[in-house]
Amino acid sequence: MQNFTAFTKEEKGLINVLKTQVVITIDKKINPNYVKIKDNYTAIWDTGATNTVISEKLAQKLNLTPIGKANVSTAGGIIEVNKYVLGLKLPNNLKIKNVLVTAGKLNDTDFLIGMDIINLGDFSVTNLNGKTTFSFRYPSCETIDYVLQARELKYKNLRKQLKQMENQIKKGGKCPCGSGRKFRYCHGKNQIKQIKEELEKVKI
Amino acid sequence: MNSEDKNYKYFKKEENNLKKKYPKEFVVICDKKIVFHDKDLNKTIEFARQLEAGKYIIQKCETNEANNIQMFHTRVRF
Repeated sequence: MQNFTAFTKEEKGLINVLKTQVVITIDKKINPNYVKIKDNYTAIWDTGATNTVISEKLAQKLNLTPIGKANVSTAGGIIEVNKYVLGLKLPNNLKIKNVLVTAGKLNDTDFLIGMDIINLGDFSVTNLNGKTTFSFRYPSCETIDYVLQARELKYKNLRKQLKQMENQIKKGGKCPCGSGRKFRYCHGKNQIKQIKEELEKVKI
Repeated sequence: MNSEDKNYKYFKKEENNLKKKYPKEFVVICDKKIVFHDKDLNKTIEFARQLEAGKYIIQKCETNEANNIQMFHTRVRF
């Protein structure tokens, strides 16, 4: 696996909004009139946003220079809004340079981190034991497939079951059904056949 | 009308031609002229750094209309 940078945010309970802090980095040649306000800004990670958004008010306060316009779909149709270029430092010093951010009206956050950034890496939200763990790494380096994981687990368990039955047959013990016959000639034969069929189905 | 608006007006007017000429590329428009084009945003920004801020725009000649429109399904208003 290639090298990557990552951050993980663990919460005490379940959370319904994925929030982190971000630091912005400004290239003075692109934004010569930039005014620093503070070090950290709030960002909500939003898989429903195609692009990263900066609060319109914040962009004005920072005195950013527009670098073009973006087409945005709204309830009232498609509108054109300003876009800016800046760098973002995510938690754990995970740096992403030259992000095109779109200006929009945001109430409860300074930034929305959209799919343009999420698509650069691997993004996961897990909720084991009622505790949300949100993790992101950059760049993307592995596919996480829960269906594949379930198949692998099933395959492993069936192999274990098969080995146990084969050992039982080798020992020449009686069938646990109480028929008095050897396991090999009673239920064993059918059960081994069934497990082998199941194994064929989940074979990866 | 400021330089950004003038350059953007030029982009909208020429958009269809630019999409044919520079498909999926970023273009730098300065004084209503294409002064740079590349598929890589970082290279495009590196070029734009030499120009006077506010006098140019960077636009992508996106040929897939669906990719050209940003969508926000939750908390943002415009």
